[in-house]
Amino acid sequence: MKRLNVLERFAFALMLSMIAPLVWSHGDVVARKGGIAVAAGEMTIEFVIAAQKVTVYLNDHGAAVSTAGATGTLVVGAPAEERAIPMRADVGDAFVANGVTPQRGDRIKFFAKMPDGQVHVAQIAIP
Amino acid sequence: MSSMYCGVRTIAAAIALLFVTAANGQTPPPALTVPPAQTFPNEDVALTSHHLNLARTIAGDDLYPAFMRRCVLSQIYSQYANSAEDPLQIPPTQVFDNLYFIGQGAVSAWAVKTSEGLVIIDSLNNPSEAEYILVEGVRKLGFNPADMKYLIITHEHGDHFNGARYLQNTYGVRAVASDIAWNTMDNGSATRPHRDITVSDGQVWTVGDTSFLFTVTPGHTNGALSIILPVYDHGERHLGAIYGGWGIPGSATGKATQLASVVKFGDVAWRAGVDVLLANHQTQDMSLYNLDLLRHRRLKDARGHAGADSPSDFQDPHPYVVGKQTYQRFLQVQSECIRASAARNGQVLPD
Repeated sequence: MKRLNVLERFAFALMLSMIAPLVWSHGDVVARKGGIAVAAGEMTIEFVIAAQKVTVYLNDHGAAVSTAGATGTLVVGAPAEERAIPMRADVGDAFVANGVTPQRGDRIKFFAKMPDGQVHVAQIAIP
Repeated sequence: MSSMYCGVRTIAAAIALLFVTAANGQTPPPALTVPPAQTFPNEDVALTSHHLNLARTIAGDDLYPAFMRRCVLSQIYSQYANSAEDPLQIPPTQVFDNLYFIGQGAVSAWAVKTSEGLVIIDSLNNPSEAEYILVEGVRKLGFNPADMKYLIITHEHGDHFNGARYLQNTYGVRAVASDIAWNTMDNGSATRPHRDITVSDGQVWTVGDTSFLFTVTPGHTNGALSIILPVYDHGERHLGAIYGGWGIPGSATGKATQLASVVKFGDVAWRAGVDVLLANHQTQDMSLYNLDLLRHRRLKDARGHAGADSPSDFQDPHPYVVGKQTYQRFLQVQSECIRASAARNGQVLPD
């Protein structure tokens, strides 16, 4: 798959920020970080994709959900070639995966297991 | 001393495993891409069993799908419960003489025909859905969008109110909600609905020939508003109920609040005579199935549905009419499922 150059990456990021408010969803699905927000039950999971970095934020109807003590996994790639990347629970409500730049057409899955046993799962396709 | 011995033994075992693995030429497989199972580390298993099986017994055969969804699927396989509410356009459908389904697969909306215009219940996720699904549904059902006079918002979550401002601005619809819901929704933003009409617990609100009975039922949200309204099946009067919000809150306090609301609403519904189960999500009143059953409701003769003028013209009952007792059982199943959810999470609720 062709790698994106700097200009294409910028255009890609701009396009993501433009479509973010249009994502069809359930509940208070609002992209608060300029990324793509999707519903996961009563939770909102927002993907912010930058060059070499994917950040995922958890939000429950406007309230940030702490990721302390939780484990997160990012699954990237076409269905037959997907790979799991452990994510680092970052400060506050974020999980971070460094060294990852999803390509157009990739499906990104995310799942988190919270300290209380709750599991949150979300999926997007890169437009 | 013994802990030191254990530590040495663990390291030795790890080194041995490394050698065995290397000797076999194996490398571990890539990390698993399948999400983990939900677990309940603090579960009171006996208490969960008690409430789960009580709910199952109360549900019987006719409410088994509602029991399975609320007590099992949405509690331990939530992603499957969520995927049953993926967005999908659903044809607008007349359900009763005066009630129309104008929602989509992720969230429902209803239109109530009164002698003074349409009362809409919930406004879908955003202005696009409000226009291209809700308003278009109104048009396809033979109404003029200008007939829409009021919008009742069942609770302050975006899938129920995010289309409201568009309906207010474009069609002059006046929005109705509980005071608590308004305090959350109306934050001055140009995209949020502005407060038109506030209704209170126990209030009867009349539009032309139709009266709505409101009960404030906090739990799913603090401002959830449940609605009882008359519906007519080929002239036969029934009372329908739309509960404000069934999603079980995470906290023990939220669950206790929801439980108290269900009990309160059960009393109101029983005294009013509610016998029709309606909801603001299709998974809760089985609308996906009921809409099709309604379409294929068998007549006693070959006149066709347009020729029917009484429920007695049909072989089959109206699929949304469950009866007074069954509506009460439905509420009891929900209560036991709330208790089961608390038990799974090690939370203690009042008796």
